[in-house]
Amino acid sequence: MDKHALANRLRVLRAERGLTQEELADLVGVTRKTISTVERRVFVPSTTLALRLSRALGVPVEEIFHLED
Amino acid sequence: MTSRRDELDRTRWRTTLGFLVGFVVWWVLTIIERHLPRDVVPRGWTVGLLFAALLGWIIWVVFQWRGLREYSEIRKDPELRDALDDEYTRHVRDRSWVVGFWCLLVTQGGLLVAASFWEFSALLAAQIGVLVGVAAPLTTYLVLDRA
Repeated sequence: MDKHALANRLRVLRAERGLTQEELADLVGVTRKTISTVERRVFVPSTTLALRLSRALGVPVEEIFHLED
Repeated sequence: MTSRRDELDRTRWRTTLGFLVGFVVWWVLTIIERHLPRDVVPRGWTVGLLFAALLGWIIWVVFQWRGLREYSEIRKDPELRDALDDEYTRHVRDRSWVVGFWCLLVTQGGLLVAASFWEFSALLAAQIGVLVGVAAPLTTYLVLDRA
């Protein structure tokens, strides 16, 4: 396990906006599976995808992703 | 409601599964039929194995054709193509290639060691190599893409 694993609040932020994984996937231009694996921390997204998620949710990227101590 | 994108994503998974099943059935039964000693396999069994292998080949061809048809449909829509080839899909594909490479290397190493103890044809070694080289990355892809 990475010393500083990347955690995220994607599921919470998405739910707050009433979006399904599929709707968010449509907004970002990826498959639902990608959103699901990012939320479950199975997959660490690239900077590009993180920025696209941040734009789609209307929050700064550091509000979605943060390093765990 | 399922979007067209996710529907195609699931179809791709099923097509890959069909392709893999067909290929493995066809290839494994061909290897058995060709390399088992004739006194071990009765004549009737050989014919049965060949028919089953032919069935595997037909399944493989059908799913190959289905995959090509789906791909040509996806290719017409750049947005859909990019979404279906998103970074998680590319990540899964890359990992599948890596697993496939190591499986093939281990298999070749195993065959090299086995050749010191038993005699077998180069054709058998090549057929096993092709089988592992196709089946290992596809199986890995199916498992990881299911996540």
